[in-house]
Amino acid sequence: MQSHTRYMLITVFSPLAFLLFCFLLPMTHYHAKISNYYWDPIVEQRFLEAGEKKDVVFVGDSSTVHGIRPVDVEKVSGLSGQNLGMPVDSLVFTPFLALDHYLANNAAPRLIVLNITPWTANVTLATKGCDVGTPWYSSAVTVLRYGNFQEFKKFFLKCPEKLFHFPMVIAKQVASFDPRALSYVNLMKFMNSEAGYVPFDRNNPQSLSDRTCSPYLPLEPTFTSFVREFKQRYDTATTKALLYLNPAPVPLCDLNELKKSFEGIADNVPYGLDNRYFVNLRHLGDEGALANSKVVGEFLKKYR
Amino acid sequence: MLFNSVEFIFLFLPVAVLVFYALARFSTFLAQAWLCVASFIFYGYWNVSFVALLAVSIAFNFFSGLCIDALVNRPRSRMAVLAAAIACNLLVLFYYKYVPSLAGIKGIVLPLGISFFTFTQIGYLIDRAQSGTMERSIVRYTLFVTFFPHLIAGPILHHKEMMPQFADPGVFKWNSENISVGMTLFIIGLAKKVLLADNLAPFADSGFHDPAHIGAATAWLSVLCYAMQLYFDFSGYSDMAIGISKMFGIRFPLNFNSPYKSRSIIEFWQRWHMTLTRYLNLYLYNPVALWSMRRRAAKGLPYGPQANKTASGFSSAIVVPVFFTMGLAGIWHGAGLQFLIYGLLHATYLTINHAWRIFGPKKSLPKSLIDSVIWKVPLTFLAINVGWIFFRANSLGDAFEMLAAMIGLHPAVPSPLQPPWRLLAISFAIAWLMPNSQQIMADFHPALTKVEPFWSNRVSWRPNFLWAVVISGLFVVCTTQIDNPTRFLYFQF
Repeated sequence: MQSHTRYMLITVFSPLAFLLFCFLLPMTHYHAKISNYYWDPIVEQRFLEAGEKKDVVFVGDSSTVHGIRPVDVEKVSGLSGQNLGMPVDSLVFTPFLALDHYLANNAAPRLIVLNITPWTANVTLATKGCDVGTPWYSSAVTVLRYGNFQEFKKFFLKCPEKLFHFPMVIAKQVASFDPRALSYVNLMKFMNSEAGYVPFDRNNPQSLSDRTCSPYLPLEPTFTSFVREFKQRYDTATTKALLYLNPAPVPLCDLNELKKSFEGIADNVPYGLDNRYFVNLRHLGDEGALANSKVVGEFLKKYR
Repeated sequence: MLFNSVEFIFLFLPVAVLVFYALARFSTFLAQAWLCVASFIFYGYWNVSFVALLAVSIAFNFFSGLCIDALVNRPRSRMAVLAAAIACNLLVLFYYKYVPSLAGIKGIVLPLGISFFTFTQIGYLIDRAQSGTMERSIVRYTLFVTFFPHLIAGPILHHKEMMPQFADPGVFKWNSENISVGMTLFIIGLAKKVLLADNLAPFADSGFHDPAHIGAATAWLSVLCYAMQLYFDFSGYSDMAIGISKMFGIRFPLNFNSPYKSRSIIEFWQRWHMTLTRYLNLYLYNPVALWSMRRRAAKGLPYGPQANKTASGFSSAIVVPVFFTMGLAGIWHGAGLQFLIYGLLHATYLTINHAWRIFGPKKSLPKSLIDSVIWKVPLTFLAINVGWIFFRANSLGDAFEMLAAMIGLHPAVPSPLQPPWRLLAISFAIAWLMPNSQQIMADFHPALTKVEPFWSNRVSWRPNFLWAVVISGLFVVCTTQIDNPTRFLYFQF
């Protein structure tokens, strides 16, 4: 009987210990280095900035990560910038964590620009579901590594099932971890530090496959209240908070519909860029990022 | 709720076990009631609207059973109540299972496990009418039907083996052996499902998706992958069910006993989905065979083993009951014609097998291992695989396309997926060369049915440190695969 009890305890507690390890590991910076998940080092990089003094900080979804080159924005507008774009789930679940971290460790910018694609606004942000594809994972990592207990509690209370799913995902990663951090080093090279943005991942299988324009859904109150909260929080006497709608591919998508949807909410007039600049509906390629950054620069001139 | 889901493994099961033993310290009735509640939660987690259907079905059959008891001195009325109750059960099953496809009505969802809880209760009613089995506790009856380890996909329980266990006070006492044995079986079953079956599924699915456009190699590989997927999916489920049940001190009947090691189709059906075979024998095959014999007796014709050696005796004692039983078993799997063909194909196999047994050469063939390996096991496995084609295909046309592809009638087209060679080889090695989970655990009798021992006792489970490391390691590997659990194949039936 005693041997059964001992056996039972080992069999129960050793997997539990492993699962606990799966929570503890992402709390360390080491995890971002050995992880093979594309977004882990990008998220990590957003929290490394310290002692900077920039005129504009761009926050937003992956369309910001891939579509805003602060150096090229500066060439047109004369305003220096910092790209703090994150994967979309971080914007949904922990929208202000990276920005707050940046503001606490860097000089306050003159402008904080929230850049999103129309689809992020209409679907992802408005839904606020726990299953925004798989990428809720990045928010969980962000909360564990950079958040406090309150944020941790908030996230996992909103999505309680992720409390179980999260260690599973990490456990799955363990087998494919890269202990020599080769992929981290490569990605860091790939991230264009001079231009301040991340070129679209050329190995991403979704590239060029998305060639139909998803309809814009009517804006839901959750999105408008999200924008209101963002502005109330960051619009101060010295800093202006703006909502900037990133471009849609034309003629693939109908701009009139887009303009109608975002009238009075976005600070810019919704616009489009030629289809050829896009690798898919939401993301710009290298040339597209350059073209878009010029448009953004033009828009920001009035805030100089 | 799926056995292979995070919610089940880390939340539902531990809570169910701990509360069960905590309540059992005070009252066995409370522990039984808790298991009923937990089973309803388990069922309702999938679709809460069908909890009412399950509850009504239980209440209806329990009270039908009481009526049958009350009519003990009126056999005709008793049989009428029995017939009406069975008809009601079958009507509900027919409505959910066949009306959507036969009448082309969309929107009717098949309640999970409806076949299993309907069959279990029909068997109970028949036995109650025949032998006057008495069960007056609705809690124990509800537990017998709903006990969550078997509720969705079996094993199909017989009340005679379960009711005494539910009434046994010894069952409700904490026993670490039950937990360690049950947990080990559960993890072995989980590994079969998530590491083998789920990883073989994509290749099998891709082959069966469009069999008209695949070559011979892809067709063979798809069929073999499916054979192994189905085996590890269902036997994994059964191991998990037996393991969970053992954690509560309850032993289930065995449902799998290395079916792919069978040397004949008769043996295959004694090893595959054993509780279904038992059910079919008890409630379909035997009554039809009995009826057939009575008819022969009424006509003054000989009956019995000697009569089976004549063509007419063989036909009435074996062919008719086998085709009737297997035809219905085939249709039970689904409304498509391919399921009927599947059943009739196995009926044909069984008839040939019985004919060989009765009319074949009488000199005893050498029953050596080599004899089995050279032709009996492979031939049986080949026949089973032809059956699986009809079982898996989306339509009868697709099944014939798959057969055509296998015999090389389609041009060779490379598969878009990399064949899972290594996994397939491991699966075959486990299915053919390794002891099964019951043989590994044989010293601790996790199931009611005993299995023949494996030729080597080297892989025999003991509650020692080495096994603890192996099983917990296996569990950790499984946990990396369960964040997106897939349904068990038999849930659709």
